[in-house]
Amino acid sequence: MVAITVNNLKFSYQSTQILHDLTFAIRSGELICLVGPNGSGKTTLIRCIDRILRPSGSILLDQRDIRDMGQREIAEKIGYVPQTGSKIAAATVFDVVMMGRTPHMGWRSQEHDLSHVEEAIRLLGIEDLVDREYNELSGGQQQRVLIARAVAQDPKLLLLDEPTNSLDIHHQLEALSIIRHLSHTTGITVIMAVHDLTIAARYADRLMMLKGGKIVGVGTPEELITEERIREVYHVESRIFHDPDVGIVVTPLRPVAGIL
Amino acid sequence: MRWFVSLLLLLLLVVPASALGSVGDSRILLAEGILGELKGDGPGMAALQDAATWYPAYPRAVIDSAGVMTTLYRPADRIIVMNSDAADAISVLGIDDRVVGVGDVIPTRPLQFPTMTGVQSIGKYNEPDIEAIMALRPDLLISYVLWPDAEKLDRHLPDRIGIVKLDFYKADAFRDELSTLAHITGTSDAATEYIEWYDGIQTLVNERISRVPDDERARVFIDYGSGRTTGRRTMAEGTGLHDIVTAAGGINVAAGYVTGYADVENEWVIKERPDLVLIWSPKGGYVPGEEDLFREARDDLMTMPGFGNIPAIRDDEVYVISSAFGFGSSSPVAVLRVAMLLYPDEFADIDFNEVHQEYFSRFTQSDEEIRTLGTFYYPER
Amino acid sequence: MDTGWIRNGYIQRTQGRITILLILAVLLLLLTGVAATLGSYPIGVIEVYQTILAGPGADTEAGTIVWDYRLPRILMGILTGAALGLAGAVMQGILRNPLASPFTLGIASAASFGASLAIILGAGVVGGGYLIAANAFLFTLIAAALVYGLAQVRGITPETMIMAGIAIMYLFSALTSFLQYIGTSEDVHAVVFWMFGSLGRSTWETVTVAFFIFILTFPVFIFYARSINALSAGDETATSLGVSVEKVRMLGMGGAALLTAGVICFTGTIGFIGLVAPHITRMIIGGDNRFLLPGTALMGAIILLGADSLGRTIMAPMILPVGIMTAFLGVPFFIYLFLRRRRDYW
Repeated sequence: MVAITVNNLKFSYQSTQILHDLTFAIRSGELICLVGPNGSGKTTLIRCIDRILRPSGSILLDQRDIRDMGQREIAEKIGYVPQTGSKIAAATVFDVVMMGRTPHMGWRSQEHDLSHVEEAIRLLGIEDLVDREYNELSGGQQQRVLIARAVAQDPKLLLLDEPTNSLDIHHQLEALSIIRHLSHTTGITVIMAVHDLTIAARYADRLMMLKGGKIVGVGTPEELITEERIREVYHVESRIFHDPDVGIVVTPLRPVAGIL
Repeated sequence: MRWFVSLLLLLLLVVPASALGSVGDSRILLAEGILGELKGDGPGMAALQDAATWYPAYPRAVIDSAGVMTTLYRPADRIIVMNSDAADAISVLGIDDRVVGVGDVIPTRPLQFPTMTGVQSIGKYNEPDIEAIMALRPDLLISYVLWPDAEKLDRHLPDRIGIVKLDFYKADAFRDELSTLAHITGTSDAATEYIEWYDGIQTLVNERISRVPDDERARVFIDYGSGRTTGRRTMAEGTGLHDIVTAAGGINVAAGYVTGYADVENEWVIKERPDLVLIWSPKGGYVPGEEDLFREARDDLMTMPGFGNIPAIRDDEVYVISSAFGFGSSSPVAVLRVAMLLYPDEFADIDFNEVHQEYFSRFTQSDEEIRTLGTFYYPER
Repeated sequence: MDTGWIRNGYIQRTQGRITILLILAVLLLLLTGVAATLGSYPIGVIEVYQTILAGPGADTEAGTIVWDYRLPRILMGILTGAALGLAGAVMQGILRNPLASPFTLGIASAASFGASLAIILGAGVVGGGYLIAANAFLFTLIAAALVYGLAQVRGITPETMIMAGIAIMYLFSALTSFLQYIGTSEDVHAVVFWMFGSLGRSTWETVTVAFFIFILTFPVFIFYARSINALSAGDETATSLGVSVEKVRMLGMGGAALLTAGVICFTGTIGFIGLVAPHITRMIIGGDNRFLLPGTALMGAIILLGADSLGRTIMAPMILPVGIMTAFLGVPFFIYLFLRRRRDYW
C-alpha cells in the first residue's frame, strides 16, 4: 500500500561507511527481496528504513519523508521482523503477538486489537501455541511468532530480516507463502532480506542485490540472476537452472579465489 | 652491698601488694628499684639517688584503673593531662601549675580551666602527638583507660614517663581515682579535703531521701534527645544520669525495660506517665550563653504530640542538666540539684546556690561569676 | 473462520490478574488494621478502630496515640514500600535486568552522602529539622542526573546506565567514607543508624510530602506500562513498535529516582524491597507491566509494613529498624531464586 522512495542514502557506523549513496524506488504492493553476501548492508538498510538507525539522505513513504514522522506514526505503518529474537521475559505467545499492537493500542486493548492478534495468529498457524511461554518455544516457532507480531501490527510495509533462518523446509515454505499471499491479497509492500537466491527468485516480484553497501542491481529475478553476476558478487561459480514450475534454481559449484 | 640486698629480698617476700591505690612502703619500692637496676631493668641511678636523698616519701607506686602499676621516684612536676576529666581532677587537687601539656579540648574551655589554656596542646585525647609529648619531657601522664590504646601511646613512650590511666568520668570511681592521683602527686591533703566535702553532700542527700517512703519516690524519665531510629533516646543502667537519678533517690522509669542508651517509643513514654523529666544535654556547662539551646531542647520535648497529659509536662517538671555538670568533680552537686528537684520539701532549708558556689571556690580555678554565666541546669527552680 | 476462542486464555489470565490485584489490596488493608493495634500503649483492638473512625480531631489519649504516632508510621510504611517496589519494577523493566533496583543508579550511596553531610558537617540546603531529608533528596537527584549525563556520552542503553550507576555509587561511597573519617564517633554513629532505614521518624508532614511525590509519579508509570513491556523485547524491537526508547528509559529512570528520593530522604536507605518485591509479584502476576507495576506497589507496601510490624514486636522493647528486617529478607529470597530455576523468569 505504500511506495518507498530512497534517495542518496548513506550510513556510517563509527567511521566505517556501511551504505554508500543508495537510490532506489519500490512500488506499492511489491514484494522485493534484498540479496547479497554477508556484510553487504542488507540488515543496515532495513534498519534505516524503519528508522531504527538514522542515516543521511531521504527515505520517503508515499512522498512523505520519514524524518517528518514520529516514531509511533512510523510504527503504525511499518512492521519489522528482526533477524534474531532476543529472550522475552515471562510472556506467552499471545502476549508477544499483542505487543505488535503497541503503536495502535491505548492502555486498554480494544476489540479490534484482539481481532488483529487472533487473525495474525491464525495466519501463521500458531494457534496451538497461543498460551505457551515464548521462551520455551523452538527457534522456528519463535520466528513464526515474531512474524505474527509484525502482521498484527497491521502495517502497510513489512520489513523482514532473513525471517526463515531457523525454520525447517516445511515451515520455511509455509511462512514465505503466507507472506506472499499477504502481499498479494492485502497489498502490503514487503521488503525481505534473504540468504538463499533460489528462494528469493521464487517469491520475489523484484530483487535488489547489494554488495559492500552499494546497489549492484535491481530487477526481476530473470534479469538479475546470471552466472556472471553471481561470480562477481558472491565469488562463486554456479549453475543456473530454469525449471518451468519452480522458476530459477541456483546451484553453487565452487568458490572462486583471487577476484576482487 | 650484697648483704643489704639479700636482707631486703627477705622483706619483699613477706610484703603483699594491694589493689588500686597506694602500694607498698617507699623503702620497699626503693629496694625493688635498686634490684631492678642491678638486673639492668631499673629506673636509672639518677632517679634512685633522687628518691633516696631528696624525697623520703618516694618512690611511690599506684595501681591505676587499668590495673597497671606505675612507680614514680619523685613528685611529678611536669604533668600532661590528656582530657578534660583529668584536668578537672588536677584542678581539684590544686596542682594545675604543674601541667605542661594538655589535650586539645582543654584550650577550648577557658572558663573551666583558666590556668591551663595557654599550655602546649598535645593533640586529641585518643590520637595524641607523641613527639609533642616527648618534647615536653613529662614525668607523669594521665589518660583515659580505653583511649588512646596502648598501640598509640604506651608503646612509644620511654619508661621514665609514668602513665596513669584514670577515667574520672564515672561517678562511683571518681572518689577513689582522686585518692590514687593524690598519692602519686603528693597531694593527699587536698584530696582528703575534697573527699570530706564529697562524702558530706552524699550523706546529706541520703539522710534526707531516706525520709521519703518508697511508694512516694519520684518516677523520672531521662531524655537524651530524639531517638536514633524512633521516638526518644533514654538512659538506663550504666549511664551517668541514671546513676545520678538513683543516687538522688529517684526511680528511672526505663530501668528494667532497657539498659544503657536506648530508643523508646513516644507512646511508651506517655504510658509510663513519669512525674519528672530530666533532659541530658551535651551542651552548656562552662560555655556561657547556651541557655537558648536548653530552652529549645525543653520545648521540643514538651510539645511532642500527646505529651501534654504526662504529669511531668503538665506540672512543668521538666529540667535540662548539662553533662559538664553531671560528670566529674561536680557530680555530688548535680546529685544534690536533682534530689532537690525531686523532693523539694525535704531540702527546703538548703540554699543550693551557696553549695554550688562553695564547690567553685574550693575545688576549681574558675572565676566567681562562672556560676551565673554558665548553664549547668535549666530552668532555675 | 472462528478465531474468537484464541483470546480466551488471555482474557482469563487478565481477569485472574485483576483478581490478584484486588486480593493484594485487601491483604494490605488487613495488615494495616493489624499494624494499628501494635504498640507499647495498651489500647484494645476495638478501641483502635473506633479512634480511627472517629477521625483525627478527638482529644482522647488513645486518639492521640493512634493518630499522631501509629498512623503516620503505618502510612509511611505503605508509601515507602509501594514507592520502592514500584521504582524497582520500573528499573528492572527499562534496564532489562533482574538484579536492578532503585539503588542501581548509585542512589543509596548518594542519599547516604547527603545525610552524612548534614549530620557530620551540618551543611545543607534547608535548615532546621529537614536538613537531613532535604540533603538526601537533593543528592539522590544529583546522582540520577550524573548517571544520565554519563550515560548520554555513549548512548542511553542498559549497559551504559548500569556502568554509570556503579561509578556514581563509588564516588559517593568514597565521599561518605571521608566524612565519616573526619567526623566524631557520635556523628558517625548517627549516620550509620540513618543508613539502616527506619519508619520511626514519620510524621504527618513527611507522609504528605511522600504521598504527593507518589501521586505524581505513579500515573506516569502506569501510562507508560505498555512501552516498558515493549522494551523487554529489545531496544530495536521496541523502536520498531513505535516506542521512543531513550525517552522512556529517561522518564523511567528519572521517575524512579524521584519516587525513591521522596521516601528514603525521610526513612533512610531501606534495601531489598525494590529488588525483591518485583520478583515476587512477577511470579504471581506475570510480566505485563500494566499489572506488574500496581501489583508491585501493593506487594512492596505489604512486605514493608509486615517487616516493620515484625521488627517492632519480635524483640520488644527493642525496636529493630525496618531496614535491618528487610536486609534479612534478601537472604532467603536469593537462596530461593538460586535453587528454584524452573520457570525462566528472565
